[in-house]
Amino acid sequence: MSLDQLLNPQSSSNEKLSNDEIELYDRQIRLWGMEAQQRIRCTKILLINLSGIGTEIVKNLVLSGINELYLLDNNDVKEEDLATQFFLTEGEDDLFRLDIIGRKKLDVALPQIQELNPRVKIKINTRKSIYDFLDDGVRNLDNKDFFRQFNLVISTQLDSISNLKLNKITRSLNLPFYATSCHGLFGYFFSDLIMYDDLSNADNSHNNHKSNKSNKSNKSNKSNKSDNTHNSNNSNKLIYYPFHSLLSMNCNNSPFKNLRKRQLITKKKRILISVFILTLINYDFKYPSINKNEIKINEELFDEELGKMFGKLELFFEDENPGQIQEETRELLKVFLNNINCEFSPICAILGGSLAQDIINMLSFKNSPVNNFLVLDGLSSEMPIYQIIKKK
Amino acid sequence: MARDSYIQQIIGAEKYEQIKYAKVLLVGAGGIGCELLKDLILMGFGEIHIVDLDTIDLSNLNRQFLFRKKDIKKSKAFTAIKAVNKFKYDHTKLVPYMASIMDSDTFNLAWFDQFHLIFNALDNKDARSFINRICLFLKKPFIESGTTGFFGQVVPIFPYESECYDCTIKETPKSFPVCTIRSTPSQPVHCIHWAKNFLFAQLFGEINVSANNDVKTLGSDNKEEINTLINEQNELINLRNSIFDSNSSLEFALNIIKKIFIDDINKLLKIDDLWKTRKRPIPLDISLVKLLENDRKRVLLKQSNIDEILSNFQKLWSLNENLIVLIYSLINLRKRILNSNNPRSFIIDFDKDDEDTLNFAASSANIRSIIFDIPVKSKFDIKQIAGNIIPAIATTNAMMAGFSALQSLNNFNVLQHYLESKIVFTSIESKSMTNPSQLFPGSKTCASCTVLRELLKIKDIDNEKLTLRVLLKKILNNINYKKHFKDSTNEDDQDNNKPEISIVIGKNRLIYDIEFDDNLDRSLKSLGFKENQILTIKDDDDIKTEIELYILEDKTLSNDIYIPKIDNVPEKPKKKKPKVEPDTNPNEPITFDDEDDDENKKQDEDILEDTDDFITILDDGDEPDSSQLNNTMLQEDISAMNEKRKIEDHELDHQTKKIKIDLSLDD
Repeated sequence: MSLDQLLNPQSSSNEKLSNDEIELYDRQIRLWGMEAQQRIRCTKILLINLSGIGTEIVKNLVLSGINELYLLDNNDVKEEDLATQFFLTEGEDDLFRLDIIGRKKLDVALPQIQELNPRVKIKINTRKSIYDFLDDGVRNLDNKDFFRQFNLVISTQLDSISNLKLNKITRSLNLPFYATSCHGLFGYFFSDLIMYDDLSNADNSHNNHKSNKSNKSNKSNKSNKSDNTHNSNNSNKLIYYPFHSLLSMNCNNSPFKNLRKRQLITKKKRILISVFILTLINYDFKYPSINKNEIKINEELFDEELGKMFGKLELFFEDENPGQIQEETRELLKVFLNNINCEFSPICAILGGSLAQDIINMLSFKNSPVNNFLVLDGLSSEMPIYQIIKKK
Repeated sequence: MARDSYIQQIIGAEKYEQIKYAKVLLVGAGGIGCELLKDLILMGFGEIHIVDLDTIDLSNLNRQFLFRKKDIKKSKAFTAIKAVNKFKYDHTKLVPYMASIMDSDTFNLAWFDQFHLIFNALDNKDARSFINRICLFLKKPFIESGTTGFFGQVVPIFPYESECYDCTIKETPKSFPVCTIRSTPSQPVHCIHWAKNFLFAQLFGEINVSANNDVKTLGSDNKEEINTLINEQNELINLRNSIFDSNSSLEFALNIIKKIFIDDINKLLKIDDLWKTRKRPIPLDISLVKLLENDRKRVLLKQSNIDEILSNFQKLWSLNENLIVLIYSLINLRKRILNSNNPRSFIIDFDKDDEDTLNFAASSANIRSIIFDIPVKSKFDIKQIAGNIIPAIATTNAMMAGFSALQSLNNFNVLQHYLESKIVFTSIESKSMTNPSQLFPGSKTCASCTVLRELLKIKDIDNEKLTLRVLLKKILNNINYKKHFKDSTNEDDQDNNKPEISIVIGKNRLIYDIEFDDNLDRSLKSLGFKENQILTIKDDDDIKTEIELYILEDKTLSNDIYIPKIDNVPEKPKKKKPKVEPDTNPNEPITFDDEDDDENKKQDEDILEDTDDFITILDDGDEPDSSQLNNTMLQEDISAMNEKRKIEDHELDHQTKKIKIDLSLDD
């Protein structure tokens, strides 16, 4: 079943929930209703890379009662994976733990994941890596068939080039796509639902870009929303932009475009973390050969990219300009760079929780899903949401 | 790389050492508790004590990810510890307790004091307020958290520096006038309340003759109505006896149905005043009862027919179906009483997870609704209203637990130059998922954090020579109220040195005031003094602030009693209109609280379809705290207590009133 079919409110092909299921999922059905739970039960999801956030997403989705989770990850268990990936365990206590180092991650995790909710089909693939699917994309008919069996694709801790290629595949098959990464105290998720018919109550929305007047005061925003709702019969088409938008940013499609000078100063820290994350995504695209652990060593290169990003976005904080980064910014940048490529459990939990909830929001029409870029700044506990649009 | 290399890199090796040796307390192993335990373990905390009184239920498994189906009915704290043992660090020590955190015999002040930090992952206000008070005594920071559906909040609390848990007013559940419930219902929730709290309690609950017959509580001026209601109640007591007198369970059930849905309604109909502006109820058709009476072959009451109806718990049952379910539940409940060891004193409490009691409440509420021309509800929906079920999901819990774990870093001075503690709320704004804000300074009028708190050390509580007179002398010596009395009167100093104070021990047992000195020569022991109790000293003029003394026994004392010197007791803050929650964002629903706990109407409007019906029912049937109180009260003191009655005004009494409300909450 395609996601469109799945989401179609008229489609009544869904089998009714059993009484056992209603009892098990009682506390969530009371929140999002029977129909949403039925749609969740029909959803098949591909998750690429288990990782720290991946672990949290898996936990949340399996608990929620999806139909099938397909895990693609051919990595072996490394000791540092145990910092966040709590499915990597065996036996009853820590004595067994060291035995799992070097084994296939998914082989170790599978029984732990399955135990969470026996109703969900868990499939694993440890033979292939995502890279095997990317180069010839959907031109390869086998690849096409592979991706087509899912309703949704999530990548975690994947490099920018691969995310770009993967997003091309998901777009060509009309599949929603999420990409997420965590870097120590920081992280983000990107979502591409292509075109989403938002049936949720606009007032309860995480996203009012659909009214396309994002800089209005709350009051006028509200009236806008209700007007909008009224005009379009409670349905709003949300337009999404592909992963590529993150790489082709400039002043015209900057999410900070409408910030006034005063806001730039007061919100500087909040914006900076977002700019760092965007720069990292771009850096990763530009220098794929540099291992992320070496970014700290190549700090100058990152500086240069950051300067360019400031320029592209026309972000000039006070007298900050390209090539001359202020002391305060530099300090924050040092903290940021120090966090790159680290996994930290509270951040994985928060980000994995919000991403899984976003998928459920999409399926349940209770809240509008994020459109399309969410940043988590663990220093300030801020989670700003930006809409990053395509370059004109 | 080593397992802990990431965290060392993120927070620094030195700070990580602090976490590795930190001893923390996690109160609650439920939705947030499971998530938080996982986070704290993965962060490498040195020692985690986890306390939860609860056992695991099927409906927990959609979010409390450390529990499996095979764990149902097992202790949450112990099962959680067993589950995380699989992925904890070698250096982490875990200590579970299956107990109430408010049990001061198990958990005394010294026990709480061993922890560097306390995490609240609770589901009720009562326990939250309790931890708040303990932390105020110990000046110990704690992190409060709660979720309701999609919404959540994390609030770090630094006692006396930032807002404490009691600084903000918590919304109290809505209650209904008795006459609305008993004679003039107009909403489904009125009928559900009636079925659960009145009818069920009268038939199967604790026998409580006087309480509900208090005319004042009926909330009606109509004498006729009051008399009818009182008679109705007395007749119910007779019906209760028919559990034993009836020849058969069916006869018993049908008698109840006839009385409740025909006779009592007819009596109400006679009071014309009630129906001048309201639609008149239509009593149940007697032919329906006859039909069931003549159902000797059990066609309607066939088990397969009953099972069929019960399996459709999302459906709106017809009148007939409701009657069948009611009869079935009455038969079962009667059997349970007759089969008990002591049928005459056996009582059954309403429990949303007890099928017989829920079937009874759902079907009788619906029949009453039909009689009063009110829409009926499915059993599924009635369960939510009667059981005060708050929706709860894994994702919100995971996020809030993550923020709670993240905020804990501040207590170890990790990254303090950047990160100061934040209150984190989920946001429904379009541009942000969270709405963090700085901590607010404590409210100047907060009854909890403006109280002076000290220790009262006693060398030997069992010493019979230690009388209240000895203690009072010590109190008056060491605690100086002088200034206030000099300022306020012109009389001579002698009198001024005799401030009018009253002394209360425990929750609200008055043992002394200026007109009540009967106890002065009794020993402290005989007055119920024991370790871990709190003594409250109040200024009768209500000008000086209250003083709370936590009682400890200390054999090493050189004197018999130790009370710290308090030179000048500050004045009580002037009562202003209390502030309602931090003003972080006007668009934000802020006053919500708990996971499976109390609810906030404002939010529920966002969450639930049937908002009007989603109101906490003031549970007047349940008051364990006051019964506990009675147990600790000495019989001989009761008369003195009644005489004085000052206790009524005691502020702590308000807390017991609040407790009433929390009892009706889920999980």
